[in-house]
Amino acid sequence: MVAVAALGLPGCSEKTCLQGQCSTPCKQVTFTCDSPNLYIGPVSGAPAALQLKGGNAAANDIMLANGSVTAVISQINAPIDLAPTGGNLIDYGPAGGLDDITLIYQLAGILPDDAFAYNQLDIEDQRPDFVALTVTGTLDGRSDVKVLTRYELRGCDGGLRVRSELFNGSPDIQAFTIADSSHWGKRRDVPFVPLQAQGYVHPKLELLKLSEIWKTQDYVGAATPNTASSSYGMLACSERRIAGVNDLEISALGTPLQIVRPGKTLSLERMVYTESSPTTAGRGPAPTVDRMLQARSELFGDTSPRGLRGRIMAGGMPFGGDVRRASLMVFANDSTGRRPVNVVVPNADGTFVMSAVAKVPLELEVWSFGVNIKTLPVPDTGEFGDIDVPLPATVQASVTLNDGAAPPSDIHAIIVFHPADDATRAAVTGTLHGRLSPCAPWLGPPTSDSPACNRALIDPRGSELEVPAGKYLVVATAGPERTIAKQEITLIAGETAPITFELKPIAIRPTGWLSADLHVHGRASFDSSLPDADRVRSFVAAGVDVIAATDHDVINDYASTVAALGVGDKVAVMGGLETTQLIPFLKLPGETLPKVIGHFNFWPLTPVPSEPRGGAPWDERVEPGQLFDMMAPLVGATGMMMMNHPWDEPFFGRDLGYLRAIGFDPRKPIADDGTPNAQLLQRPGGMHRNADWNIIEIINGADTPEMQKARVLWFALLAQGFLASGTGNSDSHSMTDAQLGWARNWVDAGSTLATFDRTKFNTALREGRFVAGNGVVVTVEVGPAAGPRRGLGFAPFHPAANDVLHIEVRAAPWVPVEEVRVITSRGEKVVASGAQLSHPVDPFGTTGVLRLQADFSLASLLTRDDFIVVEAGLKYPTAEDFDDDGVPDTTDNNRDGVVDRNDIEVDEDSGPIVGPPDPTDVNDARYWMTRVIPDGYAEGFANPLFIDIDGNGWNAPGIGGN
Amino acid sequence: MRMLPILCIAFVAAHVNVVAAQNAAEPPLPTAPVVEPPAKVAPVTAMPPTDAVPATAPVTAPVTPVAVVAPGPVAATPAPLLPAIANDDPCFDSVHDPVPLGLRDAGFDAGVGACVRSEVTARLGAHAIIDTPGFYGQLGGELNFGASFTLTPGLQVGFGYRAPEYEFAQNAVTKATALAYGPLQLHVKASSNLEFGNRPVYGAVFFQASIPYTSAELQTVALGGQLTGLVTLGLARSWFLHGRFGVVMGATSSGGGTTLRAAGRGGADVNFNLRSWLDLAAGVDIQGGWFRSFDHVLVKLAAHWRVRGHWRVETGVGAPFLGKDRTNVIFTLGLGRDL
Repeated sequence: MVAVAALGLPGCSEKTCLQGQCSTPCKQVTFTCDSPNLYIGPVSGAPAALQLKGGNAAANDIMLANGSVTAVISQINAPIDLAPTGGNLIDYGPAGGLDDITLIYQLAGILPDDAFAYNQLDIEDQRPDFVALTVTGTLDGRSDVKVLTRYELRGCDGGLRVRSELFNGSPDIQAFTIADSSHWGKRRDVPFVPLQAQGYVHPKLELLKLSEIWKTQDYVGAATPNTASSSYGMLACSERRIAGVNDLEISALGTPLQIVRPGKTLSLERMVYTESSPTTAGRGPAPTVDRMLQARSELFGDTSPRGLRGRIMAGGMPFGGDVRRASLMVFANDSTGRRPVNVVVPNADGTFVMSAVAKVPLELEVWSFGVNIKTLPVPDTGEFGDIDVPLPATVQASVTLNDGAAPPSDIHAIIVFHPADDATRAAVTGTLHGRLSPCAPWLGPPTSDSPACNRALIDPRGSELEVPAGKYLVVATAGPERTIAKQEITLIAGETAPITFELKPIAIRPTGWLSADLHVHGRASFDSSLPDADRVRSFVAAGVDVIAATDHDVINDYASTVAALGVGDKVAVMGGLETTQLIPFLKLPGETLPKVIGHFNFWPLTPVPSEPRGGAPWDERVEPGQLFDMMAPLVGATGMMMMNHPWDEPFFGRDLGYLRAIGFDPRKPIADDGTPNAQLLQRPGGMHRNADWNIIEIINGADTPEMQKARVLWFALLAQGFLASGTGNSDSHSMTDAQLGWARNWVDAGSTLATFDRTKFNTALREGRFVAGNGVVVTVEVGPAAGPRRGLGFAPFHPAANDVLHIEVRAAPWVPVEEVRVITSRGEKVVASGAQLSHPVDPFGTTGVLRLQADFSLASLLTRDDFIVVEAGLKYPTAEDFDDDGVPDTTDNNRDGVVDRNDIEVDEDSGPIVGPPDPTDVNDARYWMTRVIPDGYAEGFANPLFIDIDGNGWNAPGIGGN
Repeated sequence: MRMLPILCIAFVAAHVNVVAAQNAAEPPLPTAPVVEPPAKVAPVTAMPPTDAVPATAPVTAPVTPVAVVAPGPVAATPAPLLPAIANDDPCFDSVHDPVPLGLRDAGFDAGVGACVRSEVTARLGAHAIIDTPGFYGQLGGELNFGASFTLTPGLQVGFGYRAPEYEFAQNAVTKATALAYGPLQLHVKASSNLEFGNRPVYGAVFFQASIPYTSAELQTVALGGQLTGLVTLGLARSWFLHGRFGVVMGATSSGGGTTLRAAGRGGADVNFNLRSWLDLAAGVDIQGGWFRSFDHVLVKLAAHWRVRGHWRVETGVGAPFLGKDRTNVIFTLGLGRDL
């Protein structure tokens, strides 16, 4: 009877879409235009003028467009990124413009269970009035909590109208929100938050303190700090302020966190704005913030915003069009404190127009080249007139390669600027309004196109860039197989300084081998905004022959960009993929929190642009064995399946390395004994074992920590007969996070670049016929001292009594080598160091490349079947294993000369393990390397040889030789 | 979250005060009633000791008028075969009543006894769910005011109102709190002495419902209630049984949809009259259906004692086991006054 009574009660509730009573979201917000062009339907059928550039859309995803903005909603069966299903906003931007978002999806909480999981998609074509798309479903792990989201676009709308609903049909009181989660990916859009002490700067997003930092704000803007970016903004209509958190990685914006009792319905209406046109592209968040301020007056009766105008001048000339030249942030200064309200990049002619809240004292911060030049009070009229900023110098740079042929050839290269004196350093150290890493000089945002931070790509025809006046050391590099060159220059404001560099080849690679970076990201990845053109230019500038394009969760190959730049003779790109699980699911014994399996690379793969994720399978919620089952047919019999950074630190609660995720213990045997190591033997999909990768990434990036951890794991696997070759790769996402080609591999590819044969190349990788390193090339052979000897390869080698291990170590003179190590299952042994090695005197010269050429008796190195890995480079920083998991975790972080518990981070039981800081002493062995490769730490290794001492086949020696 | 410590402190303080009051007023407890009461009297509106009578000797108080004013079916009870002691009649004294412990919103499902009462009550309640594997937690505290009246010797009506209510819930790291009030609950109980084997056995039908639009959450219509058959009897000297069997129902409705839940529930509480002024109780309720499966075996412990005259204090704690109900513990501390 209670139930009957309830059904008969109308309640005081609003009408809802869940009950089929849907009205236009944010109906108070109005737009006008001349000629709307509404479209709803498959992306493949949309007019070209409405299509977005740089998006994720597949052919069957659904586009809503009106000629002003274009939105793409993923098909219901096409999950992408963090979203467990389709039905989410995957592409968005001004019609015909750039899509700068990765994904905006809805969630009710932070658990995977709390993501909106849609199972039905309905299209409403009400042209010429509006088009709408409604997706319904439940929370992903709570089938009794119904959810719905409606996307609607009217003819003249400058933003997408969105309404989401959640009905708690569960018997429990829940702590829920409805929020749009925008996955910015750390290097793409930077959220702009109009709160005190924020703007582009946000409180650290600590998941355990989420509720404490879940704040309300009037609106949130965002834009990629790139030259041609689109602007985004989010404004709540059903709430006066939108609540949530913002971070470079992710924003979640919606309702306050609240108690949702059984039977309660939550709803949220908001406008998701975008803006970009020939006059507003690359203007930062301002174009959408302007719209949101205006909309707030319609929605909430806020006083109409006031307009600010002016022009940026430098040296008497208009100066704008780029965040490097000028970026203006306006602050409101009232009783609540000083808070940013808008930020704009002036137009190319230096003019700017922006809105700000009315009736509040305002200030304008003027930034140029990452430096706050001045702060101006906003006049009552809002008219600033001309605002002067310092005029930079112009550098015209070119780099040639002198390989003995005449004349030297112009090449792709990178030049790096360093302040040459303290005054310059103080004057030119900059940030993006306090956000992203500081750079000196700040030639552009570190995540952006070139120039980024203090480095710039140089084309063969020469490149021109603006640099703040000052005294600089400029160093040119084109990879470890060329010399570096330096110049000290004094740049004078307004003057043009031509600088040229001549590099020479350094012969460190074995003849006929190809260099390769097998872990590379570009703009197709959710965490990169580097334009494809700059990405491909960086391939060539780094002097890498072969690239495996391994973007996160999407197959990509840069083919069109390589062709457009005409560099197909300089680099071969294999299409590939980095599977990147984001939804925790793996429950392991003894673990409270579910895990993901970390990252794996797969190549070669062919992109299928019409398919979701470029043809990549949905990789969430599967163990590695299942992933291999899925991917093996795609990469083919000679394809590669690489376990990446196996012990990388978790990020945002997601494990990045599989061995760390499962708690693999390198000190214990791998047996089906119920321990974490036993996970490796499982065949979760029935075919591949979880350990059936065929290659492992040992060096990840130019610094040392990943190698220092991963090598321990690799040696434990080798000792137990889990044979896979080790690679060294950059995992570069931009021009600054990691340098492309650092590390890299030199592969006995069996073909030249001109005749590149990816099957032979990948076969060489599988068979271990390659070496890897950060500038150090270690080659080994086994056999008689007088030869002939056998080189690398996994086929076991049965030595004769006097056979030797022949080691050669080569590195450019600017790359330091301190010692050579031989590792077997019994441990490691330094076989050469100090005076036993050659140490070039001139880091800019070409002599002294061969650091070691020596034979070592095999009998002195091992007495039973074993593997041999040879490493060379700098001594590893001393590190301890304080958490007792068999992997070093803590270095001498307080620099007191010992590694002890005083080095451990507060509130942690171990770590971090970090490389030493870049030296400032020019006499330090790492000084010149780190001028071009930040954090660079010279290491290299040759893949293992398997020595069959007794001639009865190679038997794995076991851990510790037991 | 901040409310919980306050509730805990309130509980501890109240408990200390009660104990202190008893310690101050009472000599060492006797092991048995010092003086047995006079002959059995009509129990339904059982006469409590008056304010003037010390709590140490409640059963010695004269209890004459009740039989006169309650001539209904209960009053017609023939002379018992059992020894004529007042505490053999389960309805003689309200300290023999079960301490109500409910798992659902505002305790609309709380188990009660078959005796009818005129009383006013104020009860602090608290509940906790800490589901670590499910990354879920819920803590709540509330204050419920209620009153009931015997319209006729076998008919009780009453109401309750919750204010304030504090809820804290946590899904993983998502935390929220709410301070609310309501709902209003109404109940009716029809009771009769069934006189089984010349022993007083009270049967009753109890209906209680939460009333919509009486809580802070106006956009959600929430109803909850129970329809329960009750039986209360004396098992033996100083032992009383309160049995119940019925259904618990709930429905909610808001703009997004409607939920309907119902469960069958059966259970019993056994009270032991340890002292003339003190009952200790243990009980079990078994319920299925609310979570679309077996819900729980709710195990309860309670104490109910008369502190002075018409005033009594009750406290209870319960914990569900075995089923899908994730509640870890429920707790109540109440103060009642017989009217």
